[in-house]
Amino acid sequence: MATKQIIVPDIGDFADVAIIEVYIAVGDTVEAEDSVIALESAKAVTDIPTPYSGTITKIHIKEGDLVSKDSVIAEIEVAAEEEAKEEPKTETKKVEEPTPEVEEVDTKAEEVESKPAEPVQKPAEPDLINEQVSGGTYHATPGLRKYARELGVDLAQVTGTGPHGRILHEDVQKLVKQALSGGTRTTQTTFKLEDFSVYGAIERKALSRIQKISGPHLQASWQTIPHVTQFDEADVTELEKFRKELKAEMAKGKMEPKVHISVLPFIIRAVTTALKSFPECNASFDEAANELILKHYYHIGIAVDTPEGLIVPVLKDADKKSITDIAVELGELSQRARERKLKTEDLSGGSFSISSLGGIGGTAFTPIINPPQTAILGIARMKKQPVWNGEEFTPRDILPFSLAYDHRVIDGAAGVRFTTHLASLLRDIRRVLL
Amino acid sequence: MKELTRDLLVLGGGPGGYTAAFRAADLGREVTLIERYPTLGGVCLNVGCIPSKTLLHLAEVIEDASKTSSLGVSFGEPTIDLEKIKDHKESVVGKLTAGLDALCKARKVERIVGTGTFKSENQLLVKTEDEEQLITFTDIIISVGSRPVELPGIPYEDERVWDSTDALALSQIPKSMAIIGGGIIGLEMASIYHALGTKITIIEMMDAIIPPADRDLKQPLIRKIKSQYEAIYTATKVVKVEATKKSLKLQLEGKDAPSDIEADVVLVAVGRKANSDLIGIENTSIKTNDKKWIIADKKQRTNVSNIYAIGDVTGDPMLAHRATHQGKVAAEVACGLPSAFTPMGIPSVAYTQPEIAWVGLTETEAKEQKIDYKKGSFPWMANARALSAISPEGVSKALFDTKTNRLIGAGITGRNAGELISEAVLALEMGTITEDITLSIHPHPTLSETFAVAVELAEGTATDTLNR
Repeated sequence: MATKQIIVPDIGDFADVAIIEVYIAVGDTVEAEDSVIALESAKAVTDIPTPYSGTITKIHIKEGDLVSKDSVIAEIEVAAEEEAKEEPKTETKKVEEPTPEVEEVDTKAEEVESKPAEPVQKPAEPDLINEQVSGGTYHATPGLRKYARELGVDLAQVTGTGPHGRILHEDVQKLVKQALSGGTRTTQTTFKLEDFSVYGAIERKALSRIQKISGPHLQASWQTIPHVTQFDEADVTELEKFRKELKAEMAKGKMEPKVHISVLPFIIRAVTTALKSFPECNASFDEAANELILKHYYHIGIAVDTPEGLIVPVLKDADKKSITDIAVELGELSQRARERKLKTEDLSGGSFSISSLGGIGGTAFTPIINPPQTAILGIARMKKQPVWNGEEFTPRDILPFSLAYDHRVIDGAAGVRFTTHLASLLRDIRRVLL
Repeated sequence: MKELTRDLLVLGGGPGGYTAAFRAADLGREVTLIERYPTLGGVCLNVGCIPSKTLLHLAEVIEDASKTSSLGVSFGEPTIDLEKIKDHKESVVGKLTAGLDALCKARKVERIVGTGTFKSENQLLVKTEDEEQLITFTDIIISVGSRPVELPGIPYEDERVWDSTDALALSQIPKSMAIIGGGIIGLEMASIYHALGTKITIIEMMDAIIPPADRDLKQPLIRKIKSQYEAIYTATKVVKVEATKKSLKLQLEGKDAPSDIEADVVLVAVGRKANSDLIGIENTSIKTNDKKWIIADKKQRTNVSNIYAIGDVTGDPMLAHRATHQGKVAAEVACGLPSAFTPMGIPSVAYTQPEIAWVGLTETEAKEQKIDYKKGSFPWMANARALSAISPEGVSKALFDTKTNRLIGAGITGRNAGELISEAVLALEMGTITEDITLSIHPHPTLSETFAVAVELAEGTATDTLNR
């Protein structure tokens, strides 16, 4: 028997993440991959599994603690067979063709192995160097470089006001103050509350965890990004006809896989095609460099309504997937979202988002961009409308939708061209193939 | 085998290693310092910088004394007592290592005398004199330094073939010495043994001695040693060294060099190589480059998250003052501080007579990088203090970026150049422009004025000489 530590693995770019639930107690017997704690990162609740099977002997954390990568969660008395599996580890490098057993050890166990004993809790280290190059565009002394590193200020972003453009402590302070006052504006604009009970009965209800996390994110987006929302509509009569045919075939068992196929997978697929023509909508804005980062991948975030609140899982490489594949994956993601089983990777990497409220209702709405993305598509409720075809009014299925975009990087003409293009793709889904 | 668990290990107790250990201890880490020798200080303190400077000082005194005889003060021929010199050298080293031991103890840094070999990325096997210990650690800072490069075709087993450590041991004063390698170490040893009466021949493979330094900075030294030494062969290769009973025979290949020379002792000083091959890094995934230098980033981190590397084992320039600064950075980063190793220049000093020191860009580098620069260069012959100190061999030079007027590099040759260069180091880091230096009052008469005048020349405001 040997005691091992269960540590927080690499959970992405997060540091100081709150523990919202501890599943284990001292004396518990756990199997490898059992969840030991739940963490709440920017947008997701993530369960952290144990890499070992065994008995918990000590717990280092409690609910509410903030942890980062490599924080120690607990100590575990590892079962004998686990230990045996560990043995080949030191010899791994000498074995030319590793046996499957060795490979197994190479995964999570190795991560834990590299941090034995009592790892000192290290705060996340930003890789800010602030190197001063000879003949560079600005000058900062060694002391100032250190000061800026401590505050996390990238000196390339500071305008020096000293003689010959030298960066002074005041310049760094000014930038930090500006940044802070930008951030604290939120508290300045909180509204004064009154004693409402004088007007009638009241009750207090805590925000859900997701609301607590997404609130500041949404507010920051709304306050920093100049949003423009472009409304448009698509005639999806033909698309609906096709979809119903598919549905009927699936119902009769004539087509695999049998899946609930809504209009959303078609929209996702059409959106990826449209994004390829409008790369600035599948991008991020690097303000410091005054550059757009165009993404050559199409990972579409889909806003999903869950009992906890809105959550945005990401459908990866949607442009490379068939519509039925998208439908299947969408079903799985939504299911896991509702069961709180999404992993960090399910929620990261989105390059564009879609918020579909059409299933509930509404004629149009203005979605808020999910930064650092540059645009978001909102889908409202499809309805039958009489459309004049030149001779008579015919009933057509009309899908209203809206594109909210970052006006700093996408101009109005581009915005409306995008929606027009998307509408034409949805009117005749065959165009997606072109 | 004993098994231990430790927090932070520092492998190698040279200047970089003990600095890292002390800094980390001051920041609250439990530090274990592993050094193969019983004394701390590494090559620098025990068999490098410090003993060589102790001997170079004596060489300087001998030369100064000889200069004064024609000026009305005669001491007569010096008498050399090799044993006393050795004692003095050892007492200097002894005082300094004892100081380090005390600092170590006061900081409660645990010491282990032994060699360390990685068993994995968190286990080190330490062999001490009488046992083996397997230490499981959280973090480690590698500071195992470097050793002299050995050349093929040289009979190293012969007692008359020396490296710098042998030369500093002062076992004898040979009548003649051939020094293979005209770099800083070779020339410093030449200075010492020349003063002790040895006939010196220098053989350098490159076109000039001290290859990285600018030509104009080397000129005062070259002019002087050309007349003092037997010969200086540049662009010359040593093909073979043959040991005979009487002497060592060197076979040379170079356009101005004879094909054979003889010497009582051959000193090989052709550079140093990283000790990365001595610590079992093959049992880790630590990355090295083609020269086997451990690759560390600006935060001194290797590619393995709990392993840091500093100093000579990470490559050029292999200098103690680079290692100490990197040691601090590694310790601070390991303690979660946002430190980084970002100097604008690491000063280089040859403690020859005259000394040569430079920092930042050399003129050669500025030209290669096509930087538009202006230059001021002031020969010491026109400096009052240099003449008073019978040290007119010298030059001070400063380079400025024409666009920004900021200092980009400086070089000083002459007595105490190694001390004087610090002003240029500070000026470089502070991003000074010409006026910052010329309007700072330098005391008169001093050698430090030469740097100020050099900057005035770059600015066009000099009065001690004609502006061009």
